[in-house]
Amino acid sequence: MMDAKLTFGETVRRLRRQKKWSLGQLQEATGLSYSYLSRVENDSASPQAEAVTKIAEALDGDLEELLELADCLPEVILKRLMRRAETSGASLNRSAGAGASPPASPVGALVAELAVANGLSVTEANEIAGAIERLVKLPPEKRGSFIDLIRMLEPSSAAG
Amino acid sequence: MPPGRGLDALRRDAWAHGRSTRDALLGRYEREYGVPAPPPAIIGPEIVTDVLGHGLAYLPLPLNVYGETTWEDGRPQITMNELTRLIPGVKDAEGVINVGIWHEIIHTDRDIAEVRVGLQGVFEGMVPNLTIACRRDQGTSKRSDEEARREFLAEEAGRAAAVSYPHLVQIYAFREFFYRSQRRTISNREGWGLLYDAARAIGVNISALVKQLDAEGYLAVERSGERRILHVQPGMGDLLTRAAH
Repeated sequence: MMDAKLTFGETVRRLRRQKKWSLGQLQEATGLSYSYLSRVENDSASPQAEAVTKIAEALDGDLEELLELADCLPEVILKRLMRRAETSGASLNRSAGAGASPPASPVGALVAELAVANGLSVTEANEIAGAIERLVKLPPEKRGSFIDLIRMLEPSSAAG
Repeated sequence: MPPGRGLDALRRDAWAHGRSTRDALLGRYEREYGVPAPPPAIIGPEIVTDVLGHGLAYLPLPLNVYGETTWEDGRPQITMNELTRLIPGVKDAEGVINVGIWHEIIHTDRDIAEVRVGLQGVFEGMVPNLTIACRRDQGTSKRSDEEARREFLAEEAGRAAAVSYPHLVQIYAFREFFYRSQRRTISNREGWGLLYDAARAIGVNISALVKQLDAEGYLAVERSGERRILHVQPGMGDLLTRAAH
């Protein structure tokens, strides 16, 4: 289990140094450039799922946890997590997004799907879902003003 | 600048300081990983984080700042400008950043500790918010003599550390440049091409390489209108012999 307080970059550096590898050796093992890896380790770049997978494989890291730390969940992993959520009730919510309450399955699975479909992180999708959840709990007569607000915030409305 | 000492002497001292700092850090790198150290400009980030234990980040900074060193959370923090490629005149941003990291290493090694200790003596118990910003317009900005001296030394020492001659002389393009220049079988354009390749191979930008070779008398650059003509100086042969051993 990785230390929850560590960032993605710190975790990668810790794994690399545990193996007594230089960044050059990690470069050779992953095929990723030195300057990119340096930025990743210093949390100055957001790695895509493919890069995270290469790093995890090279460093024998936990792919799932590294993907979550890097905030990128490819569909194949997502489906696996969704299956787990359905069978065990586990949450997809990341520790970084703990402020938003995780919608329970099957809502959780739908939120995860929407995240992928709309290019959002699971945390962002959860936050939107949480806001919608609060909206629908409002009395019908009070919802109207929030719906008006959504219309006002639409880019086309702002431009007009 | 301190009175009574020539600029050349100060420069030579700074180069010697930069090289001895670099060699000590590369030695620690080799002990840590058990492999011969690659050119220092290429592994600057690891020297900062793994060997020195300092913080390093790449963030957008103003376009007149290459990098800065601050004191944060009880340790030096180096921040390089992620927008370096947009700074006017910069052609090889990665090389500029690599040399800049060594400039900041020099600051963390000799300047920030000095300033921090001084401030803590005055404001005991307070955590000073220090920033050493390294700007491109050094000559025009208003700065104290002390600040100017610090930047001068860090620039000279950092460049000398990054432009590693023991690594440079092993690069085929550099040796080819030298030998073909000796035989006069190279055009000026080809010479620049080989120097570009050599600079890239050791991780520095071409300007840093040429400036260091020029400053130490190994190379002279003659300006002829828009052209810059390279002239290899007699000392370069000695450099190849000396640095290889």
